[in-house]
Amino acid sequence: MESLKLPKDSMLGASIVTVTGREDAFVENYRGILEYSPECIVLQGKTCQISISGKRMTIDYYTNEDMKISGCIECIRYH
Amino acid sequence: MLQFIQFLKGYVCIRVWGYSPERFMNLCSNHDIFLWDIKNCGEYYSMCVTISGFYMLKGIVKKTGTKVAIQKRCGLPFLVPKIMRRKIFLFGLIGSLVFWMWMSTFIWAVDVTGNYSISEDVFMDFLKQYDVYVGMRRRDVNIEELEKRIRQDFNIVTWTSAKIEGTRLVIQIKENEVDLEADKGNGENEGNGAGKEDAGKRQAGKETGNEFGSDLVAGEDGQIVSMVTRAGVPQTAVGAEVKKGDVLVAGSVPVYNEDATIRKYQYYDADADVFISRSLQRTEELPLSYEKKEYTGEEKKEFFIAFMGKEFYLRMGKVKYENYDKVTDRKQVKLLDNFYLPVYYGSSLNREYVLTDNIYTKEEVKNIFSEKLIKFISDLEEKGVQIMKKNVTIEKKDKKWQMNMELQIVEQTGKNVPVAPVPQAAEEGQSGDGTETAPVQ
Repeated sequence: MESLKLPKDSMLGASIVTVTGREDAFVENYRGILEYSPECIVLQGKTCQISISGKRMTIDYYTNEDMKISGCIECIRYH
Repeated sequence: MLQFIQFLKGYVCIRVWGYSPERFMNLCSNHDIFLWDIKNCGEYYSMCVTISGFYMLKGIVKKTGTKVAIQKRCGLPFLVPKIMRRKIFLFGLIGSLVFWMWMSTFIWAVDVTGNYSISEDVFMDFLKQYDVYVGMRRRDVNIEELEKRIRQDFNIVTWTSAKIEGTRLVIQIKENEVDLEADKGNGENEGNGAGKEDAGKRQAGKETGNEFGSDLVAGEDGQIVSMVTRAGVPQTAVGAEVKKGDVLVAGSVPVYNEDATIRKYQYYDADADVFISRSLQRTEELPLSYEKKEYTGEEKKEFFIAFMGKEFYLRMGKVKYENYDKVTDRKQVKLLDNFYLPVYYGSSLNREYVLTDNIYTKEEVKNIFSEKLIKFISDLEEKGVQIMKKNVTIEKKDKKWQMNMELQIVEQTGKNVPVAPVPQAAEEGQSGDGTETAPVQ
């Protein structure tokens, strides 16, 4: 895989989380939402779960490909 | 931009509650239903969805066991039927649109710039004569024809440009400054022969176009104090008294035979600098008393709206003052920069005054008269007149103040008058080289 230089996200189904400052997070490559509350958003990725915790979090938009979360992000955890 | 597109397409804000709202969202994204502004409001979730997406929610709702309720409808598709229901409003909107469009097909203001010697009133009268007036239809204005007519009717105008800006007709003109000055110069020369430009005068003499030349005659009575002849035969000498109309320098120069008889005449335009000394009398009068405006300090500002040539003042009854001065500040209503409307507004200030009869004191009379005298003298000096002596008296006469001015002045005189041909006296005289009197150079 390394030698072929193929993008990892499409081959392994890895999720991409892009965090801009403390306020915005873009998430790509996920299966769906497991939990959503202003304090914690848990997303089901293809290989693992991603939980983003913080305060006053909202989902700005939500499509099949990507989503945008805004609010005060405190912690991003994979498990 | 995105919001604008969403507004055009229309969307609904919904609330979702029930067994598993997260699954509802996942299914929506799987079905390519776009969701945004998702908020967790404790017991329910609120979110926005497009109209087409909303119609696809039915199956998902059933599958997930959630409930959906519309909170708000937004966007153009919902707005249009709402507006359609308000018929009078719609009618008014369209009506006003039509009205404004109709209004914009007229000329509501005419601006003229660049006119110095042609007054605005004269210009407006001229425009009226050619059916260009405030309130005419815009398409009736023939710009090119108008420009041509301006140039034709006003010789002084060298360049003109007319254009329509919105509902305003803007006319720019340029006047010929050189021509103006030349006219003025000629006017002075003709005034009393005391012109400054000799060259100009000489040329004027030639322009008389008389094949028999021209004589220089006195313009006024007086005594000659100086005489320098350039062309012609002097008929008088320094010190001589002349009357108005007397020939000073003759344009017909005799050519003599050897026996001192005249053989023939040569004709020239007589040209000379002749200065005469003469007395000038002038009387100025002033009444004993005069009316003086005394402002009482009372003033009132009032506003008005003018429409179709009528002014409507915002006041109760009539103006209370018996005598008053009125200063009006008038503006035209316009939309944006160039959409002028036939409505004016403004304010005017009325200042009350009382007329009082005053009698001139001796000091005042003296001051007024001396001002007049100074102006008169400076006018004369501007014309190149020298003042040798002046005698001014002020006296009370026939219930009037009177100033008598007696001035002794020296001024240039002389006017070219065409000569009647002198009969060729010594036609039969001997030929040969006679002594010729050349014109005095």
